[in-house]
Amino acid sequence: MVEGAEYLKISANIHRLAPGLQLDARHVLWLPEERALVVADLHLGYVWAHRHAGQLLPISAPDDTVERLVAIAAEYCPEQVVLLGDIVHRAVPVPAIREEMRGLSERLGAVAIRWVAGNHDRDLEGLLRESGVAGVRLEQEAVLGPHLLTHGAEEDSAAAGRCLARLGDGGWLIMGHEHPAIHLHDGVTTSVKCPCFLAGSRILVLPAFSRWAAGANVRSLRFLSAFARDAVFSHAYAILGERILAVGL
Amino acid sequence: MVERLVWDHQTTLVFTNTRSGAEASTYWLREACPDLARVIECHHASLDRDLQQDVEDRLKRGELRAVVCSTSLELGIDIGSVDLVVMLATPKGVSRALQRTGRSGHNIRTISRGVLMATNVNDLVEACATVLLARSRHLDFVRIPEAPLDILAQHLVSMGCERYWTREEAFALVRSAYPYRDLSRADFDDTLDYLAGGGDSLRQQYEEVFGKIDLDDDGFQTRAGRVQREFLQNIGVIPETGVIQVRLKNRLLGSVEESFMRLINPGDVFVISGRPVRLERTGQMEAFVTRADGAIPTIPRWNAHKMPLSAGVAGEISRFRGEVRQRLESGEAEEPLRKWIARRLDCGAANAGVVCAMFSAQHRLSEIPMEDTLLIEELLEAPDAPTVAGDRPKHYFFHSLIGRACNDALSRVVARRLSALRGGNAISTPHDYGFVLTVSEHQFFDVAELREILSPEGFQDDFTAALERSEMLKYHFRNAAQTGLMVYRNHNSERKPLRKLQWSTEVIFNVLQKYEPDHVLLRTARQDCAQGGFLDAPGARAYVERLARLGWPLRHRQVAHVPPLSFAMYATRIKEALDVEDPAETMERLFHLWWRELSI
Repeated sequence: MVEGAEYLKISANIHRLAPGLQLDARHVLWLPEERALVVADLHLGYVWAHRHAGQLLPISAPDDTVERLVAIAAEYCPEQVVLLGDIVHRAVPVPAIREEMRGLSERLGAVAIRWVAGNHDRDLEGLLRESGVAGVRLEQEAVLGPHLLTHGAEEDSAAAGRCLARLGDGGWLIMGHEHPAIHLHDGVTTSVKCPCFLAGSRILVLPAFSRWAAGANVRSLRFLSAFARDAVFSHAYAILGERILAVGL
Repeated sequence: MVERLVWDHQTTLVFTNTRSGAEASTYWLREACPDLARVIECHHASLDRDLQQDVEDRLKRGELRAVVCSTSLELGIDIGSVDLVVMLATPKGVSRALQRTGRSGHNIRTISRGVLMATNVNDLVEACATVLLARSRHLDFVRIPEAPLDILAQHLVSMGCERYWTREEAFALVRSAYPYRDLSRADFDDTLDYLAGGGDSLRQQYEEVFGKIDLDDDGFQTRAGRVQREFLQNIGVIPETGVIQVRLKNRLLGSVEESFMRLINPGDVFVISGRPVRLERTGQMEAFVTRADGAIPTIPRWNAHKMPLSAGVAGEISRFRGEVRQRLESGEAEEPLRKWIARRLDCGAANAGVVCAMFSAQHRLSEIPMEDTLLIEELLEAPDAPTVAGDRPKHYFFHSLIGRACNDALSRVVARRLSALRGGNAISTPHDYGFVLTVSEHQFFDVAELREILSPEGFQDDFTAALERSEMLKYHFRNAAQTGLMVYRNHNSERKPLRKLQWSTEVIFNVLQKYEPDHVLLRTARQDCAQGGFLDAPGARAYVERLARLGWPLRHRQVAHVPPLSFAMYATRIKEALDVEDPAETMERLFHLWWRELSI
């Protein structure tokens, strides 16, 4: 099933979208050629950002975002992990968030981390410095092989178009930002909202990795990003528990 | 009809039961009376505050001939010039009918006049029953909420703004209010703990928890500065759901609930402020529309809860049904039956004729449900309604005429038990006159199984379990989360609204269900569900107990088409799927279903 990675023990379901693009049901993308693990929209410190703003969101639930990521990375043994924007929900000066940032950079071990900036990541560099994570530079985009990875918050169609024009042969634009989800019905009684990957012609939108993302219905086609607005999506890859299901749009 | 009433009176107030009904009625009334179009206005809580105020002012000055409203003008508005109240569709309860009627002739020398206008035959019987009960002064039972903790939380913060309170004196003060007379000390302390940022263990674990109050073993005080300022901006217990501002160019027309906006697409025509408009595009928490005068509107269905029929009126209708049935069974001829109905309901001959015709048809096609039996009609869905599963769902109409709140509770328990027996989810649509259970093929059941499904044994447990993932509980949690200051309301103008589509209280709800099911606000939400007026579990349980005592007088009928008394239920189709199935199983089932579908 899993070409080019037979020796890996992958515990979740994989879908090969195109040569070199593997969707993992745990909300991550694996690029086998580049040996890169890509995750979007971690929104670390979500609850703390809200508490800082005066809202009493529950902190009793363990925030296992970093833990989940570390576990997945341990299976793939990537050369690099790409954090595709909205790494932090808001860079507020709260001890618990600093701890989390330290945990993220330490626990991924020797793997190179690519910090791609999202619209929520204002002041993230400062927060990382305060957290004792040295020498991090946020990137606006990451180029891996033929692919262009960016968070995707661009709202201007012209700028998005220029960006797409730079894509080489066989290259995909890979983004996050939208928190895509799709409703599946059984036609009689049940409707379930599932996070999903969203794919069109050479564009792929990743689901949010954060558990706090409710997900925006992809069928409504009300996208925030110019990339997504201007794209034609053919398939949603819905995540049903451990499985990935291709749904035509 | 309404048109004539408006012409004959100085100022008429027209009540509808829903906001969308108010919009639609204004539209038709203006169409019907073009001469009065400029002095007929619409008023409901979704309209822009300024527009509402303007309508109220013009109404007070006597400039308007008619105002169509939902519940918005029911309370607290004193307008001398109103001399007639028209209620379109029955107000679903005796007290509400009287309250609305009281808006007319609002001074010591005049008599209040109210007209009930039925919109269908069931409505007609209901209207008559309401009037009979009102005349004999049988008012609806008033329920007082028992110790809501979200409101307590907000009040404690408010008290703490003033000074430091010891736990003892604050507890004593709160308990002196009637709804809190039985408040337990544990609930009180838990609420304080929540406001302080979480329990002791959490406060030890983190350096900061950002609580609203500073709490020690003896007492508490609200934190000064920002906490108090933000509290003042967020005081209030009326829930604000996500609202989308509707704009025509730069003019604000009003707002609609977010859930409604999600149902419609650009190009659709809907009515707001009594005018049809076409949706052009939506932005963040905004929708832009253009005029669509003359276009046929797709009438909006706002997500606001419909008003439930009170148990009192339901009982009166039930008695009437029993009497009609007896007469039909004894072979009474049509003419004397009509006369009897006119006398019994105190209604005109024409009305009695329509009622008589409907009951005769029901008697022929099925049977008339009675108070001491439970009629269940079974209908196989027409084959042209395709589903993913490819099967034909079946509808079971339960004619339990016990009021909507009781039916809602009963239908949830029935759906849950059926799911336990057969797997899958069952759609249950509660209605004033009973409920409809819609099930797919693998869930078809035998009438013999009904005793088990309706058994009073374990009723309360099944009810609580059925609620855990219901939309109803989520709805109440949303309100509790706002009132209890867990999330701020929308009207905080300095702050950018949350990206509503991506983040929602639903996620917080799911997290709490999993990790902290005993959270103060979740407890409040459960309690609000059970007592909020939309669900009456004790009433439902009393009903099944009575059925058991009577030796299960169940009447079962196969029907080929929807019988007249079931039609209102069939047409309602609220379709709140009751999520009672295990989520993992749902995933599994859906996966196979869709996989099969996609691979054809």
